[in-house]
Amino acid sequence: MRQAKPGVVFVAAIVALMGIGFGYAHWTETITVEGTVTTGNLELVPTCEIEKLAPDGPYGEVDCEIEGDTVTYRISNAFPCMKVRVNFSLANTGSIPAGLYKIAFSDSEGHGWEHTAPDIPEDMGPVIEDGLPEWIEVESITWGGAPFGQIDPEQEAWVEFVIHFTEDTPEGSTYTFSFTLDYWNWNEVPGLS
Amino acid sequence: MRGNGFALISVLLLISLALIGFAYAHWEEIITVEGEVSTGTIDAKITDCYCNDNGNDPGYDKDVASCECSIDKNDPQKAYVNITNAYPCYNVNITLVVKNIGTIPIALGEVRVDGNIIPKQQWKQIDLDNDGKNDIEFYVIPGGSANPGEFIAPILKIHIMEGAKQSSAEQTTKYTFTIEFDFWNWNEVQ
Repeated sequence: MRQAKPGVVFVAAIVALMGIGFGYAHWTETITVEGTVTTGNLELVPTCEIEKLAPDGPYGEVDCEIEGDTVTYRISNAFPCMKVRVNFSLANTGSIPAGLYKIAFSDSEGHGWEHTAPDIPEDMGPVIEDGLPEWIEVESITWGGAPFGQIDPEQEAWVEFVIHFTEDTPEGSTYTFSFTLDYWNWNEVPGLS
Repeated sequence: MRGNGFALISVLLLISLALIGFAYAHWEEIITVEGEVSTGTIDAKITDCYCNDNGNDPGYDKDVASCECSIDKNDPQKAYVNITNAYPCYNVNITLVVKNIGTIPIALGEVRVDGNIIPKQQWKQIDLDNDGKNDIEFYVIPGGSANPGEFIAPILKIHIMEGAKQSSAEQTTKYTFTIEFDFWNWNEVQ
């Protein structure tokens, strides 16, 4: 077997090094950009009020409390013809507009509904009324502030119900319900941006 | 006869000397080539930078987030981008106007974010806080090439991803990163 001549090996090595040099030794000038991204926050703070409007007297107690993102309304010892004012509000204390993505309702009588954007009805009043048992009559619904569908920073949405317990109110029963409002950063809620 | 032999030896000797002389005393002309190569320079500086968020956020009808870009007063090869009140899906374009102040045409060869190469014509997602979720993705439009004295304007697209954490009343979430734009001699940029 013949050995490669030293001259051939030398030339091959030079060519290989030139090849490496060509590949890795382009001239370069670097421009640097220092970036900072500070994120905003999505924060809604609920408030609640509840008041017995009628009749006067010590019977029929009402109260509400807020724990984190859960608002609990309690009406105890209710009776026919009792009338209650219920107020619920949501304030956007964050820095990003909040969009309502989903609203859902369920109760202890097996009623329930759910609406997801962009198919949330503009007027939720009839939807809410229809979900309640017949012995809870909604006398009035008043909407105020920003629309619940989209609450911008520093804005507040509120709604006030006046409900009336009809003559059909069952004795000694307990009725529970749950509303869930699911808000996203508005730009990702279908139909809002 | 003896006289002829002497003459023959003399002639042969002369011919030998002539031959030796011919071999060592040929005429000579030396041509010298002197070479000088002066190489060019690759140099660039930022002359302007701006975001396309000048009011309402790009693609939206609200002014929520904001973006500012500024050039370092002492180092025109460095710029700062500051995005505030960002949220998932916020996207913004940052244009760097770079002047070729060298003597060789330049083109954008490579862009890195915190050392991660942004592939050409592709989004590059980066988990800046190492929580296992990508926070921001980057895309670069190279902007062609620039002859000496001319400008090149690459565009950096920034998109906030779902993995970005929101700030809270207690803690501000801030993502910082360094983007390096490498300009090469144009002929080696593919």
